[in-house]
Amino acid sequence: MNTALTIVRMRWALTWATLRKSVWQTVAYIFALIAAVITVVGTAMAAWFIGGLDHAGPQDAMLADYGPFAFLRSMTIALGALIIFTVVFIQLMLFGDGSTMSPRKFALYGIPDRTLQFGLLLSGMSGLPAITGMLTFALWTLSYRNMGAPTVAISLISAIFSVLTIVSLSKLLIALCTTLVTSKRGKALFYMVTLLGFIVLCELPSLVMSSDALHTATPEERGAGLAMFATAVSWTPFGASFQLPFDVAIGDAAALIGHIAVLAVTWVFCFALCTWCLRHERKITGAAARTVTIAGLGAFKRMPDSISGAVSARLITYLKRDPRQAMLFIMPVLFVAIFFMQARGESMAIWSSLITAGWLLAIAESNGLAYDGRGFAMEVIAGVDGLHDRIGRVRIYVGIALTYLVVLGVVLMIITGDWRHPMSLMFALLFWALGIAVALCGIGLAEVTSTVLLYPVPSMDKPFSSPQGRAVAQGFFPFVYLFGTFVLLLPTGIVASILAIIGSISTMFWLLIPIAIINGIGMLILGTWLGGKLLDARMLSIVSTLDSFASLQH
Amino acid sequence: MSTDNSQGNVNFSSSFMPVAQPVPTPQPMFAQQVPPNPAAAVSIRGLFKRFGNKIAVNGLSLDIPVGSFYGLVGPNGAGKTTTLNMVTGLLTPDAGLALILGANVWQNVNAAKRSIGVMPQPDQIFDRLTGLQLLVYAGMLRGMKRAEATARARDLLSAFDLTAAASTMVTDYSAGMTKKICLASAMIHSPRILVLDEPFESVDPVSSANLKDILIEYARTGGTVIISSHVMALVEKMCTHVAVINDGQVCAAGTVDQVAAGEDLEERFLQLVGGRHEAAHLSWLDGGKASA
Repeated sequence: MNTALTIVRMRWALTWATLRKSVWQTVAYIFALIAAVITVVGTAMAAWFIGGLDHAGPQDAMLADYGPFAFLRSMTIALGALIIFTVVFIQLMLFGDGSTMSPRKFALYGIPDRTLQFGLLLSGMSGLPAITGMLTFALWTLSYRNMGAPTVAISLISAIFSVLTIVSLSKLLIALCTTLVTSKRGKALFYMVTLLGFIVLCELPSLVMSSDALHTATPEERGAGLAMFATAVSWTPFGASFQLPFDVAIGDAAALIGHIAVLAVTWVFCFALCTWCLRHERKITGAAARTVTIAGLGAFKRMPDSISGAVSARLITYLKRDPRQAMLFIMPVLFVAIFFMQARGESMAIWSSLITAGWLLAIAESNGLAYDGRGFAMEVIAGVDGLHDRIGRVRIYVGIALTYLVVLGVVLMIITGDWRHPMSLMFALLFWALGIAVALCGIGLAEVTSTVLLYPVPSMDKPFSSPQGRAVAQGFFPFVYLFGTFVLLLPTGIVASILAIIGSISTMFWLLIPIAIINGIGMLILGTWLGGKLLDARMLSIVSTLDSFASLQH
Repeated sequence: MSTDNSQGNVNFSSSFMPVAQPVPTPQPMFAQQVPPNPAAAVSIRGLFKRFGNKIAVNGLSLDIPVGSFYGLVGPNGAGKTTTLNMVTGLLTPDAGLALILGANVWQNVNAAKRSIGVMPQPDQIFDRLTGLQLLVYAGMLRGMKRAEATARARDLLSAFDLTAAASTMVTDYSAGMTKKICLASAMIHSPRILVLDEPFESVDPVSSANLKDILIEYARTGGTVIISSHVMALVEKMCTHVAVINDGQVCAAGTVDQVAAGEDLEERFLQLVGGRHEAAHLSWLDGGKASA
């Protein structure tokens, strides 16, 4: 117990030391503290209000799943489970990020595995997030104030249970990922799957809300569905702790014991598996990680036999192996899919997604040199001209954008059936051309911004980590690219305005197709040339900037 | 101000100004008095660089003869890496001149870079490429044709005992293997001058011996090797010439024998650089006797 308490004390000692060392960390901590207070107070106020709505006494509450009590139960369990799931998911996204309290950092001190695991669990329970969670869940008890003293008492205890479940599940997932996913390719794949899952999770509410099934169901059916969902979730680690007060309220002792058993098994299982991971990791430390071999020259064989060809081959090889950038190429497809699901058969709405797709394709390239990192020094050492570098990069991005948009265009044409109607076909082609124009303008602009407006990115090995200074720069620099791309489309916009003013837009809109394409090509050439000149002028300062970014990634 | 040291520097490029003992003195006058030597592999005059309040390189002047195996030694923060960065076009000097094979580096910096081979640091390479891809990339960046770059890459992989790892991503290499592939990437275009920063660090003895053979052979055929190192025994054994740098200036330069002046090179280095002091006595550090 002494060792475990020492680990807890060490956690807080490290926190104070960090705060003393860095003003920015102190500011961030104060913001976190304010957010915690707002969460706790906000939850207390909401709980008080909701508790006031429920005038049913214990006797009525025992009527179980009817009236306001049923709604309170279903919503509490559903929301509580969502909170636990999301927090655990976010913890999972921090995988690979070396936290201060990582078990690896205690390897030298000969602490028995169980003691160490217990200490880490206790330190997790004593952190600011855990304390905030416990206070928030405890104050939610205010909504049960009319359900009797035993319910209130068990709700206060279940607040600790909920946080213990979150901490246990998070530690287990991080331990499993750290121990079992060891190869670089495995980690990259893991990152992509996790991030994709997170995006889908974020989009799920809007997809569910806009789905036809929800709109056609009666209020009773929706209520019954929610109640069933809550009952099912209450038998999982995500919802069991939130069900406990309701078990007491309706006096169902068997259910209460059953739900506590679910939680107890979860904690014991997590603890045992975490301890196993510690032991397993000790056995494999130092063993060579699984390596992957790639025979031959790969892309270096297919690209032009020139300096820019070497740049292209290196870039495409990296795009395939870099999980941070590969994700950005999956996003446009996801957006098209979401547009498609929400369009409800309106084909123009689906086609407009191509503009978004074109817009997003070069967002990684707008900070491309930061993604290259210190490896860019190879070009500087070799004395590569800026223009050669830009041409090499543009070749790849234009290739990807055209392939992407052509395939998406053909797929959408087949799905919508717009090729059957001349006017629909024309509109589809207009959106397709605009998508290509946006992509070309975006790439042209990216070749300029990537030499001037660089911001830190996470390292390839820790794609979920957040380097210092990233948040501030990332809040501003990408917008230069995102808004600038549309500014570069101004020539097409001017022609469209003229056509609208003279009243010919409905008959002459097809004219915008070639104009948009020419507009895109012009901006691409201009951006490539200007980017090359800027790169020549700023090469050494870019290397120095990339060095400073690299130091933030550790 | 004495110019003895400048004489010493020039001394090692023996064809110009033969001078006996290298003596530690400040250098700026040298830059004004002795014109740069276009026949040298590298000729530096009055190189100066300041980072904020810290002067990293203080009017450094040096000539490195063609075909020499030249060691730059000095304590941490002496200015070795800053000097090499300025000479190889990777850092803009505040003042001074650097000629590589007679051409002013900063007049056409990319041409100068293509004529030399600078060994990148292990974190200055694209380590998600395989060993073969990295070497072909390094060759093609210097304007080599793919076929030639590929053939040379395979030769280098063989020479550096990396053939079995040719298809493995460099990120999965050990530290020693990474060092070797970095060195190979600097050699693929057969430069006339090789600039290497701690080339043998983390390299196993067998590979290290092979590397040394390759570098000695390269110098014998007319190539110039410039290495920066802390390992005095290595410099003494491999280098024909050495320059001791301290506080951004050359303390002594010449052939290894001239700089060593009849002593062990490491002892001579410590005399020139200073900074040795008695080891502090820690009474409790007693091999565990007290606790036994």
